[in-house]
Amino acid sequence: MKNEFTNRQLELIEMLSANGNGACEHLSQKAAAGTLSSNEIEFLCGLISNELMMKGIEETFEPNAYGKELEALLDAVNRPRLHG
Amino acid sequence: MGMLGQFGKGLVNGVANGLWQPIAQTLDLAQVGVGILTLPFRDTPYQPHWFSAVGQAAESGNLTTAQQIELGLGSVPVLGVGVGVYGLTTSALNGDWNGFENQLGNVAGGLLLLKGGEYAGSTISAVNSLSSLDTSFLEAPQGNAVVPDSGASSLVNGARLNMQLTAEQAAGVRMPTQITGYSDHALEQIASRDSGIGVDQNALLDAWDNPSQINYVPSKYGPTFRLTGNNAAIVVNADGKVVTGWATSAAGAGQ
Repeated sequence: MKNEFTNRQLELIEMLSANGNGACEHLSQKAAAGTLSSNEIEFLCGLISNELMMKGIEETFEPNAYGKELEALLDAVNRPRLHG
Repeated sequence: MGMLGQFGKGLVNGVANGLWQPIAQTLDLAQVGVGILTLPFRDTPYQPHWFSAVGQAAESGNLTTAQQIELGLGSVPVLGVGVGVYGLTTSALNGDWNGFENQLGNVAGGLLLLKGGEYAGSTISAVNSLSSLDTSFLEAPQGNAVVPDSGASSLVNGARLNMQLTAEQAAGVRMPTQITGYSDHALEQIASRDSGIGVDQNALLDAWDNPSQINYVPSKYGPTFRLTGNNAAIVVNADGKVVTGWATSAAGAGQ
């Protein structure tokens, strides 16, 4: 199954990739084209998870609005792995 | 020297190094401290007498930096097992069977020390359990979270322990030894994330029990740990509460 992203989600991927390291800045283009490899999906899920813990949770460890947005992004990025 | 002799020599070295090297490194460190503190009062800097193997090797100048680092890590009881396994593999690949036996003895010596640590650890765990958190059907003590088992699985457990120690060192806290509960969000995600697909609970618990990767993930409200297994990933906070989780393969999906 191909990933389908909103523009906002692609922006988030671009932002997170840029924060990750320079070699991964192309990931938002690959995400938009639906050509992310399994390793790239794993890497992006890690970045999203890191952002979720740093900025997307409340003191109770429940997600805030940004956290829910990040979880939805993780689902969109991760989807191809769950459908073989 | 015969093969058994090499093993015995390695075993003695493994135990002796595991006990002596941490003390020797502490003495070396103390000397560095003395050197720094007395610097203003001396014409020439204090010349330490290195006790540790890594200190002596550095002074001799006979080893490369990489070799010195390997020697230093190998002198630490827990990490030493991992370094010993690396040496074991290298010796086997090079066909150096005497070296292989020696390294095998080294690893056995390191594991012997860890086993001693297990008894100490179990005593501490028993004391800690007096104030343990609530128990429920969701709780899942982590298999081999603290100390590896003996036997063939010890090598795998040693690698896992190294991952855990690295994550704990970065976090500055111990990883929780069991899952103590789930956030509401985690329960929702497990039941129905990604439009109802959800996450298979067995895959999550397998990630907890048999992680192939353990990462420290800093958060605004304290350290968390991400454990990635074969079919799912799980994030827990320092109290053992599951914050979130997701499938990493079709087998880990809930439906």
